[in-house]
Amino acid sequence: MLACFCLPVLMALMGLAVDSGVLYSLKTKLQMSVDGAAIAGIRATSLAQSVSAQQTAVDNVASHWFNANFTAGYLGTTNTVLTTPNLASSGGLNSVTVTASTDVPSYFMKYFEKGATTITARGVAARQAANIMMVLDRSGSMAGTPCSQMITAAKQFTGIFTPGVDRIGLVTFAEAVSVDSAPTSAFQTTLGYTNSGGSNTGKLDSIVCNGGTNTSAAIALAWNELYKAALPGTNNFILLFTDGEPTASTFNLSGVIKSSSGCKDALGNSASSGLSNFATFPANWTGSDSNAVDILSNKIITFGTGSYWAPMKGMIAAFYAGGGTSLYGADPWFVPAGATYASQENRDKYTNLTAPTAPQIEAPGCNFASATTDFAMYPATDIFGMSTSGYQTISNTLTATNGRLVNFNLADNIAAWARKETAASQLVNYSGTTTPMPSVTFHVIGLGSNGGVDTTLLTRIANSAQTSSGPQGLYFYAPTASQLSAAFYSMGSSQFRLSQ
Amino acid sequence: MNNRQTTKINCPVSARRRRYQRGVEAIEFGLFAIVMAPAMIWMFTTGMNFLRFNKANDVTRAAALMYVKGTNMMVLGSQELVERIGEGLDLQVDDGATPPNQTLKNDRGSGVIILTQVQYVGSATCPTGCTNYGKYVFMHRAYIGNRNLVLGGGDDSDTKNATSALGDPSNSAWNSTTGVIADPHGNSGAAVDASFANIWPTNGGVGDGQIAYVIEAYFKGSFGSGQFNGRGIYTRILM
Repeated sequence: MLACFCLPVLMALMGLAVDSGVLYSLKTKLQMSVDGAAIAGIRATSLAQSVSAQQTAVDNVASHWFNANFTAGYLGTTNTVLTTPNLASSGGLNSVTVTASTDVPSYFMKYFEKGATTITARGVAARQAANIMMVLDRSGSMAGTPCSQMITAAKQFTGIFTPGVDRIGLVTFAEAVSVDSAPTSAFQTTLGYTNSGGSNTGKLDSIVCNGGTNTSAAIALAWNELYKAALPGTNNFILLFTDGEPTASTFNLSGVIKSSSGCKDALGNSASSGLSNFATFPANWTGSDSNAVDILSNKIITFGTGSYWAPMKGMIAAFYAGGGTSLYGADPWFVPAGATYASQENRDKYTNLTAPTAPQIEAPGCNFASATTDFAMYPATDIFGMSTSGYQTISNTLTATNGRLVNFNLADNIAAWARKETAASQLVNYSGTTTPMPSVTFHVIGLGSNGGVDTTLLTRIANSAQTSSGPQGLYFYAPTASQLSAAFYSMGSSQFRLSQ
Repeated sequence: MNNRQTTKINCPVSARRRRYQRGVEAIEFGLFAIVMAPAMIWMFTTGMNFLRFNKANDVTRAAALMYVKGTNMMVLGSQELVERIGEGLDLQVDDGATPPNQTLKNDRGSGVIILTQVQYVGSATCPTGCTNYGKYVFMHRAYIGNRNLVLGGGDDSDTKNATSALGDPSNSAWNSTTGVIADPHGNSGAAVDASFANIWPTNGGVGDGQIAYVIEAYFKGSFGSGQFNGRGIYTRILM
């Protein structure tokens, strides 16, 4: 008798347990679905320029993703409703909120006057705005198809990010380095882009590939732009693309001019009368060669307002040392942002100067096309203060083999230094101004078809194997130019850092 | 009648049952058990499977979020995190060596999570044309857990390999160390084409160049019953 009385109660409890299990399982599934929709939705903000158009793109994509995750009638559910996703931007965060509800049927409890139960789930995907410096190799080995493939891939990369929210700048480098654009939120119009929402031409399209590979200086200037931007609340990173080994670095060569070079300054002092006479070189230099005057005159190179490094003067030039026996000096190397130039080739050589024609620095009595004739040794540091010593064992003698390793060390050292310095919350620049500096991550893409990249060096720059302190980046390798698009897409898609 | 009433008044209850109801409890219990025992067993197995299903969804969601955020899922450390989140699902990601000597290995345990990046290759992605133009292609593939997992078996002769609904990229295109697909736009071995459409019920939504993250998980069920039969648990999320 007691069992008869208990049976309905027990059955009800069992039904409650099973229905609760179904309810909980569907709640989990619904939560997964809105999470997926929110994350896909926030990626879609790159597909449009205006906020209203971005909202439309988010609505469209989030809806599709939700329906793919939670199909109509899943496990007997009814009245599934996805509310309009909410796109918001605040404090360096871009967020999409997706809310959905569905009615879950009761399998047992319906016999106890308990019908369907409505469950609701809310998913939020908040992406930290990105502050990116693209550092693109436009050396001579990139000429032709690789160069055009790189431009295509770089425009697809800018097409992934959200105008008005993210910022992207551009540094391109051969032996010379140019800051083509500081990080800007209007990057899709400034640099150009391509995605399913449209396309535009910009500075990326005007890249011409010619010259050496001054990787270390390019990294330094890109980092300096992030430093100047001072956006610690954003996801700061440098995307370095290169197709080969570094073949050039930038030095102040004033202190290493050979006594026997025959060079004289404007006061008639020659190096043979003592290197100290050249300590102020080229402050007094007024050689007759117009190019030399331009290059070696008392010009001061600056890096823009708020930069980390002080303005510099001296015989600052890129020193080329590639593979084999190639060793020669010395090209001007730096083009300030906003400089005008007649062509990319001119920009590579003398853009910040006046109407250059000669390919290399010249000065009366000096023949800088022959480095070993005019220079005594490698300087101990480059102009950014990075040591020429490092993970590659070197001497300071002027040989092609030695110079090649110097370039390796400088590229590695500037990346390691930047990671270390940016780990600090505050950095004081040369003028004593304190700037909050964000942590900067290095991501690297190597193209292997043009003689080959040095995987060890690029892995060290990215810190992908965490061989040194600081943020761990990614290293992608594209064996051929046709695979660059995939590498840039993969790199871009990996940057969607979500806070919720 | 009077005697019975007298007895009822004068005897304790236990004595009364012994005398007149001996065996009734056993019959009641038997009848009760016939109904309730299978129900209890069914409820227990269903409950256990619900727990595993929910756990599977949780670990899949966690793995998906890690993957989307750019975590390298091809290293032991990341996979161990997922393994710990999936505690109780017998998800195993190493070779079983004594700590700390384990190495990443994906051939043990009762579950597998398959992580895939798929991209649609259109004119924006491939402006000059390429082999996989107009197709969905694999960009990246990673496995957590037992790649050789077979569901079912035992007294259930209907077995099923735990394979991705998307299919697999060809081994020649897939780098087993990094998970990256070589030349996804130009390598026909990277194309997924119709397989992706099978899990994408709506038209549109994946734009040209857009990457879809597809995370699937298989786990053996606790018991082969109900919806969670011997083929185990399958769950999937697209992000």
